[in-house]
Amino acid sequence: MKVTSGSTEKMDALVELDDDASSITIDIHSPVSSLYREAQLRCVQEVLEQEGVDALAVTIEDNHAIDAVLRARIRSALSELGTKGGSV
Amino acid sequence: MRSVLYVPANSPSKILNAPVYGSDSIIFDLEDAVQPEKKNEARFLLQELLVLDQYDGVHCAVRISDVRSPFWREDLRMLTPLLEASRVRTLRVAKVESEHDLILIDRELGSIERNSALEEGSITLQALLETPLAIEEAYRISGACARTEALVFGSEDYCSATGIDRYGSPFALDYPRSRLVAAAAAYGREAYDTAYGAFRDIEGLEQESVRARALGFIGKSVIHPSQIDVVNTVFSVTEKEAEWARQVLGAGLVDERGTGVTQVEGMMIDTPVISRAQRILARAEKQKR
Repeated sequence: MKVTSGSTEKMDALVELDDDASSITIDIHSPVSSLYREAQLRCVQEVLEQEGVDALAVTIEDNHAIDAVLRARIRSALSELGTKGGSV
Repeated sequence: MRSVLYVPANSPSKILNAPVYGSDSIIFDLEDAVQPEKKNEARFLLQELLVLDQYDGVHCAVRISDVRSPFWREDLRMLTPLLEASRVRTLRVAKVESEHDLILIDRELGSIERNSALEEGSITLQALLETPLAIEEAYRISGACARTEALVFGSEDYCSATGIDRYGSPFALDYPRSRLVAAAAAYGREAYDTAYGAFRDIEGLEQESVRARALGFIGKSVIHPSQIDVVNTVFSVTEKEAEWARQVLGAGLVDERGTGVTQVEGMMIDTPVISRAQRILARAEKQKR
């Protein structure tokens, strides 16, 4: 099952989660990857860890979102996945 | 608060930029500005963003959905961490139409306050009156609960229901405005005027603001940063008003002959005039902050 949260508007990120995964994979497309890729990965991993997720495909289209926005988008997508009966 | 800026609660750029524009308060809008399927995203966004340093010292409020909608309880549940941490101190409740609407929310907020050791009544409410029914019920709504700090006029639904063209005459909305102001004042609440939708028409905004102030409103909702300066200016206490108020308070009630009547600039000073002077100086003091 796939769910999305957010948008590609400036300072936002479009997060897609797919629970049809056997481990955690994180794919981030961002105009600031060269500078912040590690920080963005860490941010995503922290949220997944806090939420106890161990298998999920995460795809992010970032448009200069700060960490707090990334966290919000991932958390709301996780919430939607849970609401819809996903395996997370 | 003179200007109260509405900001859509699901737009990171608008939320993050909101504090720089100089409005006295910011209302993050979970109601009309957010589509039903996006409300949860917006709630998470507020949870994450309003704890950032840039909102320290900013008066942040949230407009929540009305009690007849399926959204308000979840709005409250998701806002609870922000209310408990006093990052949000005020909720503006949409489409209030009866005292029972506020009583229902008052109970929920009381429960949040008790569970988080917040002082009872520290979370305040603003009631948005948007329909003819709400305007007719304004007095009862105003007195519904002690935590109500203000009544707020919302004109779009009112105009739609009554057929009033609010842009056709500066006096077109005098009746609902006056009724709301009187109901607010009856319980010591503040009154805020409706937003001016034609956000490029600054002259029209100024005219409407002047009218609203004359009718007793102390501030106005704004929907665009370009509206803030005009609204702040119109609703500010002028130096002339402050000086008059200082003279009134200096003169006091009793003149040197002990007649109980004194005057300033040809105006008789009695108790209501002194009260008005005190309110003017209190507002002037707030403006300085």
